[in-house]
Amino acid sequence: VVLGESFASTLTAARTGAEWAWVAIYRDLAPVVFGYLRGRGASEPEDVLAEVFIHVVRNLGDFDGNERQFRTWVLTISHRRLVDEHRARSVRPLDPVPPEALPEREGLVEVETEAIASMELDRALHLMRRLSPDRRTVLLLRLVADLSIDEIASVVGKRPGAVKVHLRRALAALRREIAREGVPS
Amino acid sequence: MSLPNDYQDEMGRLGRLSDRELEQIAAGRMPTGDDTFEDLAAHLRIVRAACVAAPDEVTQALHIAEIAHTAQLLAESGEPVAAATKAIGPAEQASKLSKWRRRMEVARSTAIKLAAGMTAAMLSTVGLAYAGVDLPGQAADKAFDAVLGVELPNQAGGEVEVTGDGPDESADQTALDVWAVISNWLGERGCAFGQAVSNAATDGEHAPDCTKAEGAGSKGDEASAEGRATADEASSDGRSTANEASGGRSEAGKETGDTASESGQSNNPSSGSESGKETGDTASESGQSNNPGSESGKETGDTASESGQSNNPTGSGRP
Repeated sequence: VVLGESFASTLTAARTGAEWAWVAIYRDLAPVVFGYLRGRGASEPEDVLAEVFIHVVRNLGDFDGNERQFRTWVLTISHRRLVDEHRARSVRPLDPVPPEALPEREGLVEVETEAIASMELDRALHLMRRLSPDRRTVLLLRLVADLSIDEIASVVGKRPGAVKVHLRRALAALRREIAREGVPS
Repeated sequence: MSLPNDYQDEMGRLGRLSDRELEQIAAGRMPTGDDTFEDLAAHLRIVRAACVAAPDEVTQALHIAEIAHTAQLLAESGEPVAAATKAIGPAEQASKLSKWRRRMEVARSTAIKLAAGMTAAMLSTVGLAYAGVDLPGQAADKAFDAVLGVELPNQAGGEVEVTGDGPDESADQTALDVWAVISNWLGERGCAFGQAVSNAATDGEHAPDCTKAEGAGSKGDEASAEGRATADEASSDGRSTANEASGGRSEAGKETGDTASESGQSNNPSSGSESGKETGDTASESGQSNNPGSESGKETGDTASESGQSNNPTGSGRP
């Protein structure tokens, strides 16, 4: 919970189109959503992130709840967008151009910084990628988005019991991989 | 750093964790006083630090600009982004589609209410039937069925079908005799039937006397004949009295009409006149009559015939 007591007023202002409210919501939730998308292996996490927030803007009228519920709602949208992206990618495989090869991005982002971050992420996610998609999903939603078991169940559309099983098996599998390869530093 | 042998029972240990401990480890935190899964939690912290990061500044700026623009457009057009909470209901919407949807909602709500009402009525009827409550019509039928087979006094006339199986073998002889009379009776069930039943029931000790009933009937006939004769007499007396009271006038008029017919002229417009009347007579004499419908002669007519004028407009003279 980041917005806390100001959540209600921020949400009301966002409904009227106030830019400051949307900036606050974006800065609160974008890192979480972006982290989840990257952890799950989205090919274009920035694009999916933008789609998620446009969807939130268009459907904010349907939402009614507190900040935790808003967070869960946004993560639910993110999860579904990610599933859509994976399906689309399986139908129409993409061959993305590396960012450093794009001339219009030259000078806007330091290529070296981005490359280092990408390598760190790859190294951190190296063992996570060996998990099955379901196990990786529930583990990332707990680790990155800090959702409870019940909230994770709501996001992925499973029963809490099934989420617990996935979570235990994900941790067990990850621990086996750590024992085998050692903890990446 | 743990050795591989330490993880032989890893699933067993993880399986014994409570939900809270499971959530803590999966979030990269260690349960208090337990460092069994420290290596796992440390790795998860690294993963989280690598994953949770905002997009670069340029991407953020693009996203925020697009989000703000979309939100502003939707807020200005009154689309769902401006919808309020449930407490005050959905906000007014500008598009035609929402109005159409609202009408559909009203229609659907009405249909649901009607269906619910009909279902409730059916369920209540079924519930009453299940509880054994008789509805008014069923109660009447039940009361009628309860007395079925019993002959009421107003059912005595005519051929009556005998229902039932009769007395059983244990019944006494009297009952069997009565049943034999009832079941073998072929004629109308009048006094004779009752007498036969009574005879069978009492061995003739208390049998009713049908001659009394016949005598009472003959007395009624006599009284009726007497009454009819008295009425005829009174009627004839009244008729003669009436004739006496008005007969002279009627006869006089009739005669006067005849006279008028003979004179060959009558101006009486009454189509129902079957006689000449004194009015016609008067006309024949004076050539003028104002009587529009006189049916009978009158003294007035006589008077007019003398003076050559009649003013009687009504024409009375009925007996």
